[in-house]
Amino acid sequence: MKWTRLSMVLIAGIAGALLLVACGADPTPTPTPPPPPTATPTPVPVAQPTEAPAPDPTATPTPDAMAMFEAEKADLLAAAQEEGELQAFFCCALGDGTADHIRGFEDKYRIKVVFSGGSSREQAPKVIAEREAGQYTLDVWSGGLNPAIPTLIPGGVIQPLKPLLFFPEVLDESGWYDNRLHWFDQPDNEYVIGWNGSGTTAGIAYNTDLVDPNEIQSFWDLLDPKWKGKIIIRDPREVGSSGTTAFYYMNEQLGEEWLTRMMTEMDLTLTSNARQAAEQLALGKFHLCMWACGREVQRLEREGQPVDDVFPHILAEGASISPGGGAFYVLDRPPNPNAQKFFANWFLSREGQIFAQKASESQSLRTDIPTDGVNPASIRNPDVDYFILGSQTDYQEQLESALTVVRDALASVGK
Amino acid sequence: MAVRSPTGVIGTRRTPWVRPGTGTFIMALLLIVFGFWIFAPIVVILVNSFNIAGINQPTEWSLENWRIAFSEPGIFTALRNTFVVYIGYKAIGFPIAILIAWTLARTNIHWSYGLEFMFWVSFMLPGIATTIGWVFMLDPDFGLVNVAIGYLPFIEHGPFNIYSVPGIIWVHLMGNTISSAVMLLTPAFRNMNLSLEEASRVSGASNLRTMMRVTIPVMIPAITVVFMLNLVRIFQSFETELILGTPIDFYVYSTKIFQFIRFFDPPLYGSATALASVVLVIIAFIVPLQRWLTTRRNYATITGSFKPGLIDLGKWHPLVFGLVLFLILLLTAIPVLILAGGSFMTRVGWFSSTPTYTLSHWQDVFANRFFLSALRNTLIISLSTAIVSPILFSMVAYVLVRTRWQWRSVLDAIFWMSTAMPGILSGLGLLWLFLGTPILTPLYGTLYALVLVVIMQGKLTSTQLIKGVFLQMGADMEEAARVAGAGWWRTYFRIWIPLLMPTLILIGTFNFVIAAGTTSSIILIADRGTSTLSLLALDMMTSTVGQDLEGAGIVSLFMVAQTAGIALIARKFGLQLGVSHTRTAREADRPTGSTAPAGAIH
Repeated sequence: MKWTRLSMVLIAGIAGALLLVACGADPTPTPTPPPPPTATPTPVPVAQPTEAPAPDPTATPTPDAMAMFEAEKADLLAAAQEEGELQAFFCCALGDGTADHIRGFEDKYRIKVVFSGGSSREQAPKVIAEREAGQYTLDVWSGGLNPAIPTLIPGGVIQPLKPLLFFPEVLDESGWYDNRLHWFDQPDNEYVIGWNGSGTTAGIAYNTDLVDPNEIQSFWDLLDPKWKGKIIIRDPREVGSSGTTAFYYMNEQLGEEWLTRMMTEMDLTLTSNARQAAEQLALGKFHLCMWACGREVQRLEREGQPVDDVFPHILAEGASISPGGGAFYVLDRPPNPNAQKFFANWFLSREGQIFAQKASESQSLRTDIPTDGVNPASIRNPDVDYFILGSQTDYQEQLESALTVVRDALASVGK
Repeated sequence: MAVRSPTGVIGTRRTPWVRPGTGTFIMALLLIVFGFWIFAPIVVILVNSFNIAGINQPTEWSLENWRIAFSEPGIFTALRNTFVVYIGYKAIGFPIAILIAWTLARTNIHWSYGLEFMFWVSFMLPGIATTIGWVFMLDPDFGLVNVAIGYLPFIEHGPFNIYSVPGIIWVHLMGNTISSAVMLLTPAFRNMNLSLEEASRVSGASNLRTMMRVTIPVMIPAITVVFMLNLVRIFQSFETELILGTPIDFYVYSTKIFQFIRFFDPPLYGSATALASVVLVIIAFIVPLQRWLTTRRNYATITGSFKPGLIDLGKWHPLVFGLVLFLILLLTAIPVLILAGGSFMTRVGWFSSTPTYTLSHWQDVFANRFFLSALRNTLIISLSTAIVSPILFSMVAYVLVRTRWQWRSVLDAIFWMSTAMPGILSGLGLLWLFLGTPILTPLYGTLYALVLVVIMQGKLTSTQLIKGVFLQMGADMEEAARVAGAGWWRTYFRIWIPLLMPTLILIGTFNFVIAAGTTSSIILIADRGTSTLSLLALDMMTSTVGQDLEGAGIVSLFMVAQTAGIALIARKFGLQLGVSHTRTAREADRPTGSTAPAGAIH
């Protein structure tokens, strides 16, 4: 009898657990896949733009044009609200702050933002596999140029963003750095737009007790034997730090020679962990930290540690702006097309970019918004002519060449 | 009369309640279900590794991915390094674990169940906390131990360097190497029949000689299984090597697999698969070897004439107790201090931070909009796994050990195959499995999918451990039940389940821990609505605004608390069942005069 009771307990336990799963399952799991291509993507029709001439960004909108825009915006918002939610993937530059700040958008426009985060590297194959199985689960994506350009565009995963943009303040290029929208998919210039434009001085973090930044006026100074064994870097072969590698390689005053010598002569210590690199710098085990140590170094600096990543001067070879993980794109066949279109315009508007700045602590490429909430180290110097990485037509080829140089150089010294 | 093999297997020819037709049907079902679940992702990944076409391009077959993989600079050095580290920590850790398991299970050491539970707690602690903790202790420049030694006269500086091969081996030992083996072996040692040890002592052998010549040989199935379960995962450990090895240019094989995924966009899954497939070679050796080891002789220790009892440690008791306690302290104190103490520090381990102490990490975790749903999801997934997996896999193990159905060895090999692909690759395979199988697709995006994945995740360890216990069980009790007219189900639940209960509790807890901590197998299947605490912790660890180790540590504390709570309840229930040894060998010899003597099988 004892074991009969036990059996009953076990069976009841299994049943209970399954019931718990049933009750506990997310009432709004991954949205139902949209119908096959021949069917309408969602029951909510895409709000059609009103018949109006394309806005002239340089001209002040007339009252009629503004009224038409407001009407179109209101129609779109109503359609988006009917869809009720937006499926988003936010990673990289848009980090943990997103969850707190996105509530402002949700409350104001009554559109729920269901977003996931994590690594683009993992998200890209997931989305591609989903789409091969006929599942379309995402509307918008904020992340890096990778995987958008090498993977998502060739895979037909993202659609042109440019035709969706209609907010005058988004299209008004005078509101953006260098008086232009920054498209990074060459030569199409319509899929991937950059919104993050944090400035750097040298892109080198240093221990303030051990290094006088005035000692370094040029990147070539870093090849001085006195720095040998005193530099820790995030592994430049990793996709996340490839922008820095590209800058050194594409810079005519540095190029392959500087990159190869840096990798082979300086007895570099490599790590995949930025926090580890920054902490070792703060402890004084290393004097300099390169290849994307900035975020962790800035945190340590705020905690009172003797580290900094701002130089008092720009190095002789110049400085760069890179969208880093701050690019934005929209997915093909979105589950919520109206919400997608509304969010894309809102995100690139002043209000959206103020949100992005607060969520990321990075400076937006918009120039007509305050820099509240931006990390001071990320604010661009108005007197510097920055090299904008990623906007070159042959950027992907140059990046691949740069990575090949780095891989070969590191392999030659057994790393 | 039933046919009995050397291992006590009952042949189907003499088992009327399991007709050959039934066996064929059940075996076919098991082979189809498990074969599909395990093989489909592996085959898809392997086949894809020969396809070098780009995205949306027509398929192009080539060996290029394999050529790239094995021409990777330093790959053979990395392979050698992997074996150096593995042999290092296994050669030290495994004998220690066997010794401790024997001590806890076969001797009258005080508080043995409490000590055993502490090894469970050690197993529950996240590996990253152990690694970071020991970095703070043994960093060559700033490690607390080195600094303390530096205060001694005539010594300028401590000698330890965590960034070294011995350092990596040490962290492995302090991580799961010892604790998992103790956890998995102790129940098997508890099933030891005292009569065998007594016979040895009567012949004049000491306790140590008895242990070496009698106890351990009888425990070969369990020891072999635990050892091989570790061996097939030799290429899956890389976190410790990545943190401690990369700064000294010490790369292991798993680091190279990781690099093919991290260093390329799109990731070179094909080349990573090629490297990972080396495990198949190991599996090809393991499957027949473990089968030979477990069938070549009779390992039954629990029969109707089972004699319980413990060995008296005598004068060695305080020393042995002290050593075990010291080891537990090493295994648990450092990570717990790092997790709990660090959660109240601005930066874990940094006393120079301003402010040094803060509650902000706790506030951030409680304010996280995904925390409560992750907590709930983790509980649901882990509880389901803890309940379902022991029952399901005990039945599979029964089929493997106690029937003579054809194709059992194939089923066994299929289970071993499940370890062929490491973390993220098997996660990708499972994603393809869910999206490409009509019967599974409706589950995609729901919690059911995660429950299914984590239940199946523990299949190899669960089945192999229960197999080990089945091998220790004599067939006579089952035969007696059947002679008395009990059917298969009644026999299973009245005879086998009670005998297996401690192991089932262990398997349940083990799978609860694995389910609560799993990341790579579910990361591609989960979304925000179905995310778990482990994925939330991973998010914090990889945050772009700075790795939030402290926040991730707090989330881990919740996972540990959840698991420890469940484990305590399960043990309280399970320890009242199964084989019990409450007397020393000497006491066992005395007649108790009771119809239900202490130490009897309850």
